[in-house]
Amino acid sequence: MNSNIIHRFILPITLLSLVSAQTVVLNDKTITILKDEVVLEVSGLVCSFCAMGLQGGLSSLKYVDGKKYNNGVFVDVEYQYAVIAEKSDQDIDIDEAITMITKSGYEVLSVYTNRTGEKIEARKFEAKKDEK
Amino acid sequence: MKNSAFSLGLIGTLVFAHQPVMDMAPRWSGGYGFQVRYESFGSDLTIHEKDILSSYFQQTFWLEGIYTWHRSKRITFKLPYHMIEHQDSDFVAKANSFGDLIVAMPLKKYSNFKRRTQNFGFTPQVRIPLNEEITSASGYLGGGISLSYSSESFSFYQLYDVFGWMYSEKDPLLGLDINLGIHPYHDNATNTGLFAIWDVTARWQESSTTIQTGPVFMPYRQNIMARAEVKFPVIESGKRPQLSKGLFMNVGIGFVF
Repeated sequence: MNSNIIHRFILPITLLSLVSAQTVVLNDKTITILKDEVVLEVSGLVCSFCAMGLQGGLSSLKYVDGKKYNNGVFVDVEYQYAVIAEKSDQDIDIDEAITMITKSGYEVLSVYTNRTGEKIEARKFEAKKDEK
Repeated sequence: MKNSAFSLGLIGTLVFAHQPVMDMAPRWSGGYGFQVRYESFGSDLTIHEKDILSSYFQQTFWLEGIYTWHRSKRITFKLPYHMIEHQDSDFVAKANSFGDLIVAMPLKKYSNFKRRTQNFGFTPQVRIPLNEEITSASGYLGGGISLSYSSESFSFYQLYDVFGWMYSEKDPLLGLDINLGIHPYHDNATNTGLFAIWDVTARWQESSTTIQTGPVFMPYRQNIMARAEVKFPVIESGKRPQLSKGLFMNVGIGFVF
């Protein structure tokens, strides 16, 4: 009986809490933040053809792991976020990434990292007046 | 005289107003791109579908380029090479030559929203003849202004462009382009996708009015985008006898860096 309760309720809840601790919800999509990745929520990132400009800029940053994704960068234009893969134990310069995105014609709304692999850190930015 | 009446009535109303590359990119600072397009139109029927033993067919290759200083400031050029075949009863004329260079400076005001992006555009442009020869398609110094609005979400695309041209030696032109489209396919991993758009093109001159419409398909992959469209005339009217514009076809491919 006790074993049944553990299997049916306690274990799933524990697993769920572990998983949810590593995820964020961006524009209705749940995204897992991995240890060596930086996730940026980008306002207006719906122009799919233009997204390659952003991809090209971000992939040129120092310490981007070009072996992952598309030269180290994944861009989701449906849910408006970008993922940058970092080389193991080497962090990219997030401010430089934000500048790169701004130069590409977009605005960063939030940045998520999971440096320790256990806790997500978030930086939020205020949208400009003409953004909603 | 009759020949030029036909040709001047036909040409000028088919100015392709879109800017490289495919009206979309590059929007990043320091970005540049170019595209090549092939377009053709013409017919051997009048706007009232009468066969008058005359015909006018024009094919044009366009080389176009863009440089983006900042997402709000760009400069573009469009250089045509025309191949014209004109027949009027026993008179047959063929002309192959570079046309008039068009230089434009699109200025855009972007607004980024959470699930869409939009921009208002103001584009001054000049048309510069590259040689002294005047044909039905080239040899006209001109200046134009375009006002546009474009909005794009993941699923939908829309563009409205109102523009006017003043020429040194022919009627002024007023134009309206409307593009309404969907974005039925996109793969994030490879940045590959497709736009399917319906295009409405209207041109007014003192001597003629033309409204054409038809489908446009724009596939893309990474930094390469293509555009293929076919438009047919739904309204053609004019004060003087003139040939129909016929079927308009345009295919092009663009690259951005």
